[in-house]
Amino acid sequence: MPGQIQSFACPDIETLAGKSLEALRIAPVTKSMASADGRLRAALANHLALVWRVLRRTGLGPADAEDASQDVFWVLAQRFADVPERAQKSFLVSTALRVASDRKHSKWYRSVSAGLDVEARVSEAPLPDEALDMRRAGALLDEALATLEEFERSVFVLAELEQLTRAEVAEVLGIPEGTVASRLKRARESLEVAVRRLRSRPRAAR
Amino acid sequence: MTTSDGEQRQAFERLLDAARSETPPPELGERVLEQVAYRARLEGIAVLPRRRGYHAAAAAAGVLLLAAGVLLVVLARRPAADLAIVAEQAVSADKPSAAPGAAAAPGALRAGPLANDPCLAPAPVSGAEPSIDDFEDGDDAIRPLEGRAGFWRWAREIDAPGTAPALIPVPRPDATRANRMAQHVKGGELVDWGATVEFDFRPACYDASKYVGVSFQARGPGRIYFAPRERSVIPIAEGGSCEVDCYNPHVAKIELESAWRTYQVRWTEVRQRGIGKPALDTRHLHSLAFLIRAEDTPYEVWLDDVRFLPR
Repeated sequence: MPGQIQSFACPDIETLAGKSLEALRIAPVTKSMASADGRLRAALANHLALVWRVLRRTGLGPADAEDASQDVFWVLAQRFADVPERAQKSFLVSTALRVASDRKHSKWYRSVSAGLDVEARVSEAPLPDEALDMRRAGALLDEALATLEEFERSVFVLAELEQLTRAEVAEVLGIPEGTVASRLKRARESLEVAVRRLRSRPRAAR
Repeated sequence: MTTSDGEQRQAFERLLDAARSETPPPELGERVLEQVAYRARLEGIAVLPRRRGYHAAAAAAGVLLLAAGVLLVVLARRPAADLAIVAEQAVSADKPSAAPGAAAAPGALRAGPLANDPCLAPAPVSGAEPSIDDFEDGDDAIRPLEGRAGFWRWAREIDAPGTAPALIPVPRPDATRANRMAQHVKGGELVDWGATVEFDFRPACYDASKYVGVSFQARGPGRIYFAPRERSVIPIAEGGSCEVDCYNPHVAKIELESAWRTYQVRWTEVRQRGIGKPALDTRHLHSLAFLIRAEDTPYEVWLDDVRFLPR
């Protein structure tokens, strides 16, 4: 292949630039975009918290989950006509899982995501006890969830934490309902063991 | 179950309850709205209602084509004995033209990859304006010829997604009055996927089939990979249509020399990783990239006069 690429030595080429001062036009905000905005606002009001939690519990840090939330709703915005409102929840959840998976598997994420964790930056600030407890609980659960195999983790997050029906989980993950039940049981058992093990660690090690 | 087990179980349930009640940051919704509006403006996409226009246009086109087909059948085949055969022929021959009518049905519309697929309304390309960018204007935008738009950027593995710096041309060391500026990147050792000098077509679907490839001037030394990236290798979230095995573009390996040379890469000379992969889909280009892999770093690359190769 390299041998086929033609190359030539460059003399001082008199490039006829033909410069154009025409600025690149960016499409203005139109009335149609404004009404799309209403539909997007409704989707955000109904499902942003769900998308956020799915992204976080499937392993993204807060900073990365924010970026991924934008990606998820951008995908929805492009596909409003294809996704009926009743199917929006499933669509967003499956998109969130895919976006999270892409980000986790990207080499960039593996190399630098730890340094961008907002939670890590603010962890020294004093917090009300309740919020601190919540944060610790979230961190402990995430650590335990990280011990699960990715597929079981998805089943657990959707069925147990987000309390989607088995039929919804089966549809999102493309598996039979029976498999949802068996994987959920196994995931729950593994997770309980992991949580107990993590809780029993000496505090300094946490 | 012992008391300890019961306590452990309760603690576990409390943990799950805490996770269920987690809420996103308060401003996230507004930030998502802003981001979606921004992306939609860049892509020139009216996110929602343009679809209705498409519905109407598809339905109208379907009706017109169907009427034209019927008229042709009636005029061409008058004798009644032939009608059955003619109708059969017409149906099979007119399948593509019947499709727009069918596309008016909601089920058929779902077949498309995106509701506002930028490929639905491609910019007309005559093949007569090959210059992509000669960098003489000193900005990061490609030349706005034949409906082309895009911005050069220099992305490295150390940049967070979406934060790659814009790439502004600099004076050539051997500048002449007619050719003063070029793109220049220089960097140290990288360890992961490397770096890239690239731009995305906006909208992210450019029909370059009127051209046979790309030529550019470059100077190294070092190795780069020229990658015309079709939409099917870019994830949906980044404006492509890829769902699996993404980021596997067609590439041509190029060994740069320490003097300026002009390189010509034809569409037929780029290959995708893997066996039995199809040829480049030149009708649906997402971006053009010059890739520098980690094993070829440290690197220093000059680029100039990037243009399509006319037929």
